[in-house]
Amino acid sequence: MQDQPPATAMQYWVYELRVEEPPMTVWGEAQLAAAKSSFGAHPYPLGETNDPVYKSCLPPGVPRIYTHPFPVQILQTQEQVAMLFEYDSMRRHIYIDGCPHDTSLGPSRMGDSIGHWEGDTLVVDTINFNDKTWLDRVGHPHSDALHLTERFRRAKDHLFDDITIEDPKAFTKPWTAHLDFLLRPKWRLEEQFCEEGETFQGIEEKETTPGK
Amino acid sequence: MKKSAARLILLLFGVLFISGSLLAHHGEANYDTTTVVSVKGTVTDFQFINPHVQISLDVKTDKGEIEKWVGEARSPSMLGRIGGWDKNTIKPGDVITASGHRTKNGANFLRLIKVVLPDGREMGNL
Repeated sequence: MQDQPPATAMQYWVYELRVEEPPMTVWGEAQLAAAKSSFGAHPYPLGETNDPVYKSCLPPGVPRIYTHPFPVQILQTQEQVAMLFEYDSMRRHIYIDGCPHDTSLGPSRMGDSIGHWEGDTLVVDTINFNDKTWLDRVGHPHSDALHLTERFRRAKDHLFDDITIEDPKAFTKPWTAHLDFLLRPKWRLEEQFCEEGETFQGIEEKETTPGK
Repeated sequence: MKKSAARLILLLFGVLFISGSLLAHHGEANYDTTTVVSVKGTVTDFQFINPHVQISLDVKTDKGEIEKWVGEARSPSMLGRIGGWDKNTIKPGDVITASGHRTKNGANFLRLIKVVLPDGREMGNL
């Protein structure tokens, strides 16, 4: 059951989208500096983090959901491609029926996604994000101007997602990341979320109570 | 992914996974990751729950005193599919050896790396 891909191709993106720093604006740099992440080069203890996911068990949003190491199930019909994430039971609905973006209910954490096929590549366009989530688990920011373009294609047991991130408030120019998923035919999605009474902050309390 | 006419296509993808010891764990700042601590004790509680599985142990010291320890592992879903666990893998009363990184402030709390079960099986990928 254990796969051993090259560590250099994999380890970094467990909590951020790529190794290189994205090209941030002054605003973006300030947001990153204010983020007290429990990951990265200088991690904060859970009791001090201001990460909305680990402080308050709030949903991660997109593209941060890709940095949480839990599986995703893809359901495909004529109307949509649905991505069901085990982490926090998040999901995305990518409408491929030709309908335009629907922003009538206001912005959301997962944004509004539409897609179309270019040969064997699914091109997904996502807008209408709110600004309540971090871009990743390190604390890189995004604003409600975030615009994602993703190109999904399969190569045998791999699913590649070439993602272009545009957000003129947070980044000085668009930048890209390459994500690689491995097909797991025998896995099933299970439940994953903060349990009542057993949150990350509750775990922090156990971790930091001096031994008796 | 080719277009489908009428049928529903289901695919399940996992992260391109590496062994558990290389995965960064949130809140790592709390732990001394340079040292592996091992304790042998009797399971008093086994919480096979989200977001993290927790194993409580009574550990007898050299002086005959009982120390209360807690070991933390990853989610039940990942323990199941990667680590080979299920809800019955251990139970209160089992004697196990738990190894992991201890919190820096001396709390009896381990971020688990390995558990040795009563029958001798070694469970990693925690």
